[in-house]
Amino acid sequence: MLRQTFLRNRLLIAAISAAFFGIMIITGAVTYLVLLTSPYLVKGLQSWTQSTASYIAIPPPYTNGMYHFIFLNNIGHFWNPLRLWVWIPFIGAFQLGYELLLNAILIGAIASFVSGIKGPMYTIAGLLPHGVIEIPAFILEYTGLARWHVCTTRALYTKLSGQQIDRSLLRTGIKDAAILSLLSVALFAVAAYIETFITPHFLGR
Amino acid sequence: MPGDIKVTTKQDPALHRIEFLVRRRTETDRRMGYIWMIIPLLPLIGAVAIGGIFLGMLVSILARIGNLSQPTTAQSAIEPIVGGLVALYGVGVIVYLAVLLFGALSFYYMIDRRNRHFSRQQLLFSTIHAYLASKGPVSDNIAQLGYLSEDSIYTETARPAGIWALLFIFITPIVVLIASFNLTHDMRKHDDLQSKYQAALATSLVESGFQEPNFPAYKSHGRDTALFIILTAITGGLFWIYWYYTLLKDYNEHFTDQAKFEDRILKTLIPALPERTCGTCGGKVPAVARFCPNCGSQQSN
Repeated sequence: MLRQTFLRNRLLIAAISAAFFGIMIITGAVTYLVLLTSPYLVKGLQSWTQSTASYIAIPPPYTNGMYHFIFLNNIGHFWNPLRLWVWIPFIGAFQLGYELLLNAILIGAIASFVSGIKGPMYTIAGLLPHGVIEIPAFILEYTGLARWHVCTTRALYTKLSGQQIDRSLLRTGIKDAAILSLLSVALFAVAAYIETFITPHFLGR
Repeated sequence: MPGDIKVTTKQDPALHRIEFLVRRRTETDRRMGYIWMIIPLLPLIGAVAIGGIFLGMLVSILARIGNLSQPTTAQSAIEPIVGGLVALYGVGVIVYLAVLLFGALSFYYMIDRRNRHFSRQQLLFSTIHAYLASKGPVSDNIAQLGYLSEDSIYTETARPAGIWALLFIFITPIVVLIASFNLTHDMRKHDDLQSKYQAALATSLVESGFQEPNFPAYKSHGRDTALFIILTAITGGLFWIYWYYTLLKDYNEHFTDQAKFEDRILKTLIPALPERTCGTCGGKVPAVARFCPNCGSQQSN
């Protein structure tokens, strides 16, 4: 069943992955070039992030508080009322597009910035262990939501143009959206655990 | 009996019309080159390049300022790159205008070639139906050809290419989505109609006493428009690059397939005339021709 779900959604998975990694790589390269031109900017940004960090209440590593913070933040689309509107058929897809761009740009820029300050090994140790699970989880979350938008938009369009809705197609779409969403939540749980309890070891915290 | 067709030098007017409509495809079925891919790629390349250069300029300003509490220092830091910023703004405006202008032109061509192709095909299909109906008793399949021709005329109406191109300049993202949706959706419907027509025509030709036409298998594109729209939204517009590519490719491929299909129709309806060799250039000349189509020299009969 899982294999069939992946096969049915392969175009969505491929397109979302290509867009995500494409933007992330381009942003990383541009950030690296910009930071390369000015060591002054690297120092300025470093002191700015240190000063702002004291205003954001991020729980300390190795605590359940941090685990819940990371996990609930990542699965916010499934429970957070402020972000739930991504489920509104068709319209929510544009918000998802914006969030995909934002996430890819942030990850690319931060990876490049951290590499500039602490070297590439520190970045790899800080991002790779949980990233190998968290990024596929993000892609599955987006794919699940995208499948939801495709099947509901198609059903609405069919209904509005006075035709008969293909119920089996709609059911398959909703089932795919549910499977992919559940799978992404499970992966987010694992990724949050690694980020809270394992990654800090690699970073020497 | 199949293949028992008498070919005369004076063609039936309907056959002449069919041949004329097939020959007109060089005017109507415009193939667009893949150089048009610059339309979706240029904004992306432009945004990355201009954004990168702009960030670099900002960094160089910050590096020169040193201390934000001294306005004179800040002014002296910004002054040297004012020219560069103005030039960058100018390049940005030029790229933006180029995308608008060539984008509008590309949509005009895309919609226009769709209109011309559909319109020629409607005429061709109704003429073929009229011709076969005039040959003898009208079978169910020949009647079906008539219904499909009427369906095509009723459902595949022309879209105003000029208005869409003009709208592209003013409300680009909305027009991009709607026009791309329409073009993909129209091709999908056209595929459905055409495959039914092809099947009905193959049987009708045999029923009317022609040889089995052996049409090539119909290739349907079957793009899911809802999927394409959602993917474009979710990937922040990046998927539209691929969507635009399919708009170029699908219509180009359809025109090529259609040309093969029409050639088969002509070959079935008008079997090749006997040929001879031109005494002047050595090229092939139809036996009934008075002049060589290759060198123009008069042929002795």
